[in-house]
Amino acid sequence: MRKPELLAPAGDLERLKWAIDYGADAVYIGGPSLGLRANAKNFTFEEIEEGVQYAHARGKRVFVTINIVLHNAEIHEVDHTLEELKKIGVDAIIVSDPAIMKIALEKKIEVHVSTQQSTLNYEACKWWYDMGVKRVVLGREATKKEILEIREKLPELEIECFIHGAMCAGVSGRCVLSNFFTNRDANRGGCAQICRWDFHLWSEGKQLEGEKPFTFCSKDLSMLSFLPNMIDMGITSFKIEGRMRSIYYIATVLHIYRRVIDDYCDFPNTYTYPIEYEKILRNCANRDSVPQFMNGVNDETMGYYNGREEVSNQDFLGIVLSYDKETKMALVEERNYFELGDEIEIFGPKTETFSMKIEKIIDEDNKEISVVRHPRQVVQIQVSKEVKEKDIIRKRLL
Amino acid sequence: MKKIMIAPKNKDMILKTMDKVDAYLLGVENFSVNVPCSFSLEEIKEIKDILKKQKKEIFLSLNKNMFSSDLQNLEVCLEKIEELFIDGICFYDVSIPSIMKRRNFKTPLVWSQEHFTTNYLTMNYWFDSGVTFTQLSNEITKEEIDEIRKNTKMKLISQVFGYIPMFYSKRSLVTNYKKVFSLEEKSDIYYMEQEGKKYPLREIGTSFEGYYADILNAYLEVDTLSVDYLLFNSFLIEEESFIEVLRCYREKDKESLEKLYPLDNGFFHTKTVYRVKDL
Repeated sequence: MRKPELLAPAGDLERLKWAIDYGADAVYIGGPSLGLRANAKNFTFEEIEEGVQYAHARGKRVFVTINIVLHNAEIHEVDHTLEELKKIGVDAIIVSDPAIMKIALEKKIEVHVSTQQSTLNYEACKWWYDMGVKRVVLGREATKKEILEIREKLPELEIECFIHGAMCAGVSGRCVLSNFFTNRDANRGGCAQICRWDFHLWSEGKQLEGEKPFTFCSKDLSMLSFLPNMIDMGITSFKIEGRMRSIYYIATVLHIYRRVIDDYCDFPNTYTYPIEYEKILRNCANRDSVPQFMNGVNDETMGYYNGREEVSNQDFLGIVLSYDKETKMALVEERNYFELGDEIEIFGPKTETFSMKIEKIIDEDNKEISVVRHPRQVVQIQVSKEVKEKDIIRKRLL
Repeated sequence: MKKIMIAPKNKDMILKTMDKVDAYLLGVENFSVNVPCSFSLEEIKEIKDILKKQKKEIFLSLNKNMFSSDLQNLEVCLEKIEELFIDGICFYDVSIPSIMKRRNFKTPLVWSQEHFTTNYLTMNYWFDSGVTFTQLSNEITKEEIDEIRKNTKMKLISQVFGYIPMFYSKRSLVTNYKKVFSLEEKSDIYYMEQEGKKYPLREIGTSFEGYYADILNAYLEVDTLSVDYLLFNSFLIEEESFIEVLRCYREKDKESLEKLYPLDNGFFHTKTVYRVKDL
């Protein structure tokens, strides 16, 4: 069984390293310009170079998003940007604009067609494939039927599908709500997420009064339960959405999907669905998630019609900086308040998730304390099993 | 001389506007979105015969996102269109140029990817691929259109009147909302309201369209707009008013036009921004 690529987002160099350490086979990042996350931190060319070196040293790949919808004013940036990326040696660029694709292909840069093109059929895939494109990121509306048909008709074309993260309410690229409501250009990275606003709904002069206001707001996507099915379909790459997401989110989501992919591919006959992971994913994103369009569903379960509770997520307690085998103490940097007696879980790229109760905390002055409440405070806690640098401590969820 | 193109809401409107219109943009059953109405190929053939006698141009909008399950019917449809010798097919989905190329069909193509048709570099890619028209994005400025004009041989189409599409989804958003709250009201058109403005919404099957609340009415721009076709969208506009709007534009009757609809320049003089620091 061919193992699919697990592709993670990274908003900056730190998150790129975390994503790779937590099991991503490849990461996608935004460059200094021409991406669709204009208000994310994004990478300078120097940072891209460092990220590429970090990834390549570990046998992983880096893709750069160049998926802006170009206006005349940005045309002059294209050639320089592509030249720099070529020089750095990025593994591919993710593009929605065919003119940029053509220039990139002439420069021998690997091209992946962005989901912004909403490619949902094999004829469109064939157009891109004939151009010399290596991979197509399918539209998020693609169902199993489309994917299988594309796979069958174009076996050489790499197919990438989203498996987790936020969903646009509209077809990608066909929503300019943000332009009209806020003057921010959605297709140049300025999306203001108007789809999450509340509206009154009217029909023939009469307001329709549901218990909650009308909204376009979609639930997130999670393909966790369908993952084995997607692996069997021969999809090349499984993509996680969220270049603006935190280290905790990236590490948690990757940790789960990495294990599910490995467990199913390595031991397909004994694989069982880890339903407990659903709770972790739900807590981590603070949003509900469903498989969306994959099985041809188009109903009320896909949206947030009944509102949602905004509960501040304080599950993420800290990061392990180091571990002393003799004292069995972990040096930890705090992310959220914790105290003696708290039930916690620790997980990491090479640390199987385990739970324990906090029984001893020592501060920087070597004094025993009972509470850790200062942001990024560094303390030692006694742990029941060996832990490693970059392991994550969270509240007990399982 | 710029040509006047309209997206009509029915056959009757076509017949009533032939003295004021140079070109017609028609929806095609099962393949069009964001058009006032769609016609069957049989109806289109009849309309085409009428229009060609009057030396009018006819364009067809096949601008929905195509799923693999659409392809067989799409290819049959393109084959039939090829026999009609119409003036252009507006496409959004790349499957259309792909099929046209494979089948060596010669009907001219209009790059019509709504919000993507924003620059001359991409236009020239499509021009080099055999596409001869572009329907410009409604979200670009007049200045940008001028620069596009100078840098491409594409024939350009720009909407100057009517409701502007701003959202398209495959989700049945109103149906789902009504289901959740057991609301019985049925209508072809709904409106969502925000700060006193009402935005038209339309669901057709699994297509969901959202339009901006204000009617574009770029009368002041048309003389200096460097495009070949001025598009008037009749969606949700009373037939009588729409015909009067066409007359006003033809006869440069600004006073009467303003009595019908306030002037509205859309984005012709408004640059959108995308970095928060630029706001």
